[in-house]
Amino acid sequence: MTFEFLDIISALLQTVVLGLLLFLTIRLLLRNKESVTVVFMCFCFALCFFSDLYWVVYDILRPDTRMPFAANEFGEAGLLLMIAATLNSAVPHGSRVALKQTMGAVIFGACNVALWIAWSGEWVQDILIGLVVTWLIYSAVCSLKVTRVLSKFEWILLGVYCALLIAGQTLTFVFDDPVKSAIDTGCYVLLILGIVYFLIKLCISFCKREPSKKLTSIIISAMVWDSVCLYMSADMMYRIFLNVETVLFVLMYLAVRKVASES
Amino acid sequence: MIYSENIFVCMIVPLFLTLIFVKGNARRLELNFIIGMLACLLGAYISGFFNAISGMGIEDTAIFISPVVEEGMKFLPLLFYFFMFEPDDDSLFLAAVGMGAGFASYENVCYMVSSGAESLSFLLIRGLAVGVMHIVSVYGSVLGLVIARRLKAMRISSVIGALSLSMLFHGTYNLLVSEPGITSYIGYSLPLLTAVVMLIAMQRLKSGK
Repeated sequence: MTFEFLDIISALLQTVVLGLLLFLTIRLLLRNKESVTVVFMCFCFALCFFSDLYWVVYDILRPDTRMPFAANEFGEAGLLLMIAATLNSAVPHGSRVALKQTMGAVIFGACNVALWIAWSGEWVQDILIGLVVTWLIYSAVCSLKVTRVLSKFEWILLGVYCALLIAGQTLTFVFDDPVKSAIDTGCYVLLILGIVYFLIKLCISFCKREPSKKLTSIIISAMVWDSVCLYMSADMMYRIFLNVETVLFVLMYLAVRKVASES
Repeated sequence: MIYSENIFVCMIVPLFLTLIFVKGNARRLELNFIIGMLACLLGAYISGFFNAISGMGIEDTAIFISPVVEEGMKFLPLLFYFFMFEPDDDSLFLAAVGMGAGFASYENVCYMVSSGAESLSFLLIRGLAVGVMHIVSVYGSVLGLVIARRLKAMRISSVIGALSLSMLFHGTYNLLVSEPGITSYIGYSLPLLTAVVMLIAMQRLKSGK
């Protein structure tokens, strides 16, 4: 079984799950016509469904063809904006701005863009997507701040963690193998630990039956982290993060459904 | 090499003259038909420009870049209409259909001039696939705007989301029909199937008024 085939299977699995979630969200929308959050989530699933479908068709028919400014880039940008809109409507933060966290989000977003450009060489698309990703990170950070998911120590830890990740990825450009491989492995460990941390937080919140806003905030923050992981990984790790994203989409549906029922 | 500007002028002159004699929805539909043709012409220029600067080749440009450019060209006039005139839903859908039909018709005419019109069966498939696809994609994006407006979810992200949906749909269609065989048949049937689903969705939306 080739790696390309496994890629297609993972994307296909996500497409099927998203198709089902889209159907369920439309039903939810017909029952809760006043919930803006459900509208955004519906858009979000529709975009991700078509984006995945596009990827599957691309992977089957024209793999490895360069596409610097294709429809999927716009789809990705639309999807990320919709995730941010879903989060902002579920957990409104108004004009309250957490200055330190906002600065951290902007710096982390900018560093990610610089790394993507260094990896792919596609300036225009990376800057455009980078702006959207930075907005999403900012929205996630604001929601975490409003719902008080993270303690002061955890915020500092998150900052150090992101700095370590960026430094590690930058060093892979400086060193050659075997040091490069070792740093790369270290970065993957950081990425995995990050997603595991968010999942543990999520489990604790579920067990404590915490408010739906808090759950939504954690789930979408986990999705943001997973998106960062997806952009930073390749091959086997990419497939793992893609499958984690599929699970997170299901959890997002459950959390937003709870938000809609409470509102 | 075809003289697409000449074809455009030749096609719009009678349509412009007709505008004097018709009123109401007929005029709106016809005007949008002309705007759709103009969007197609301008879209071809822009795609040609991207082809030249990206060095991707004509085929890859048509598959990957054209959906972005064409959907953007169709969407911008409708977005202007939507925000400046705040039309009701029916007027907006009428404008979208006119725009899509004008775009598809002009593209089909240019295609026939450049590739010949001998095979009726192939042209029929093209008419039912590309023709419907342009209408469905622009109708879908407008449907997104209408849903967002009606459910009070109108944001920049909704506008970009609606546009991205139509781009992805168009892009998937182009990818599917780019290779011969079973995938191209799926591609050709995709617009018609989507049109049916969209009609059902519209009925549900109207019943929810």
